[in-house]
Amino acid sequence: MDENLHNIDDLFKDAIEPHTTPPSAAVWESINYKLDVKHTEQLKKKYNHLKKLVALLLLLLSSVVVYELYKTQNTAATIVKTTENNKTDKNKQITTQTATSETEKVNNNFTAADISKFLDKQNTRVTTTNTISTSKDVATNTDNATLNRTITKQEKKNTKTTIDVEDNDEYFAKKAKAIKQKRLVNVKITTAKLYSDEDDLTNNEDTDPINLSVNKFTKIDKQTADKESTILGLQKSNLNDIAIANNSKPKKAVGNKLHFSITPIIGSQYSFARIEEGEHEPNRPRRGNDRDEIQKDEKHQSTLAFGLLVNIDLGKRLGIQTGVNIFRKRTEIEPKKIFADVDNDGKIKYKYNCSSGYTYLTSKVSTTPAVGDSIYTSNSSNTLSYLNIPIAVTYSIPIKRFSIIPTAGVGLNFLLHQKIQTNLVSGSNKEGTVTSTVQGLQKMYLNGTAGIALEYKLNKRFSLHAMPSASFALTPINKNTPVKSFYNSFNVQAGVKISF
Amino acid sequence: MQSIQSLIYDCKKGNRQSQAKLYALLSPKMMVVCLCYSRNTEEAEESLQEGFMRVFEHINTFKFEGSFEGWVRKIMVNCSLQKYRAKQPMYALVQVENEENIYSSNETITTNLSTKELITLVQKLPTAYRLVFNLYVFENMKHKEIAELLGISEGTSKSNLFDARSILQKAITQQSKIAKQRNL
Repeated sequence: MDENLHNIDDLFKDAIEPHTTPPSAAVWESINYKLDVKHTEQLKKKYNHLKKLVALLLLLLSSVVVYELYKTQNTAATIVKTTENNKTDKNKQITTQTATSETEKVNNNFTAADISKFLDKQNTRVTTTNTISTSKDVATNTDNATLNRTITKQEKKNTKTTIDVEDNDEYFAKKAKAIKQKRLVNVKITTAKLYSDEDDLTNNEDTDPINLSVNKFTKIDKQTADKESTILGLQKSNLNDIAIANNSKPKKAVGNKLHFSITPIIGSQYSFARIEEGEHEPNRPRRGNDRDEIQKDEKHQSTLAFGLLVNIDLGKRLGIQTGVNIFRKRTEIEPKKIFADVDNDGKIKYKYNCSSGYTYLTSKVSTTPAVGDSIYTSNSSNTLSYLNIPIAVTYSIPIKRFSIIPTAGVGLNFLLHQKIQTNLVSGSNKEGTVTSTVQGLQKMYLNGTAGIALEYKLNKRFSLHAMPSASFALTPINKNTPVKSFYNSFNVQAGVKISF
Repeated sequence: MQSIQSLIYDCKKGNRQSQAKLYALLSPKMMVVCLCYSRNTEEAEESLQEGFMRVFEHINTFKFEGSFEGWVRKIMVNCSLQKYRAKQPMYALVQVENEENIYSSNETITTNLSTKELITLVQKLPTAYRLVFNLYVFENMKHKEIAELLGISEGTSKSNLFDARSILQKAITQQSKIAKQRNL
């Protein structure tokens, strides 16, 4: 008996080992397809790194642009001046302001000594808290830096000066008239200093703090003045600012402060998905991953979104909007039949397909399934949480206290959290809720957004903000899945805008 | 004709044509391996497909130490086993009836039965018996190795092999009888 049994071993070995059987052509087709997918994945991985790098660079670039804009504005260091108008003495008041107008430039160059002499002669009372250096100061301060640009905002605000003039002679009256007529007097500052509030020069409590000291005035001709980089612009009677402006682009630099505003927002999101055909293995039955079936089974729920928007004014009307939003997408999935398939580790499990991706589930009750076996699931839910960083352009149209602000831009959406909850049904019994992660989701997707914000200005600082907007996915939220999903949504958000 | 060594080198570079050639060269042999470990042709093709994917993915780890065909065969066996390992009980499932042999030599049987029929007989074995029989007969593994690989005891492995042989013997006897009657 034993011998015969051993003969059986040899019988099978000798007969089967040299034997060959060609597999069907579909096997190579499938391998070929899988190799293609793998190759594409590898390429995508490579390019994903590149995409991330580009996104990061874009963010950095936009940050640098914003910073540079801010810096440019501040380079034209604005120094506010206030005027003490002595009406009883009928003094004429001259204030200076930051604006310059090249078309109306009048180059008048005079030294501090000239001014002093002139003011003495004309019985001019200087009530300014500013210090205009005399010739003594000029000698000691000529070596000082041309301009100390490290002034703080507080210093800028507190830098004020007033010049009161009692009587004018013909020359000064002409100048005053010219200033009143909003003409400009460009004076080249060859030596200037800015003092902080703590400086001794500003200790006079009766007057506003003085932070600017012009130590020397030099006469220059118009041509030279135009070429100089630093110009002191003096303008008209009723304006209160004085600026040392970079004259290379005086029109842009002067008079524009960079304004920021932040808007904490809360809103509601109504999502709907556009589902397209994804990647299918050829010659394999499409069980449970049909696009139409998936679309039919899923219902998207409205969810809450909250975040913080940051608006940066680029001009009077134009602005950039960025910030951060956190939102969830919740999908309810109706009961359905799912089929067993080989998972990524070669194990046979039930494959649950949904618009986000797929997951493999194991039945706690039934035995290990064979490929193609089926089981039912009860109601399921899929939740995805995203962090959104928008970059949008805004255009403000003010109407009295209201502003209508059309907004358009793009957003980067980073996946924060995801889960799928379902129940396998064995016979008529539910096996209990199974929570698992969805496979095939992209870590980031790109979306476009467009909306119209409505703002109501409560006061200088606070505004009420409301914005309906539409968001549409530019890239799918998943990859290498039977279906590709593009999540679109209609959003309504509201908040309080705080301007700075 | 391109040697298998140069084919392997090209496959390591990801050359699709060489991959296709390598597949064409080895797939008929490997298909038989997969058929012996599977219940049917569909399952065997699935294992073959998975096995070749692994071969192409991990071909860079092949260091030309030993036979390439042996390396590929090992992958195919592992892929086939993965479907059953630690999932299905590996003990005797059927009652085996012992029966006297009516044949005297292998030649007599092989003339009466085709290789395809023999493969079908192996496929019809219960999974636990089939795996042990294949590993013992075709992979020349010892019972200790089989027991470790399948997560069963050595005794179970021996018992499964004995039962597998008995079933096959019985089946062959029946098949042989039918074949003889046909020839007559």
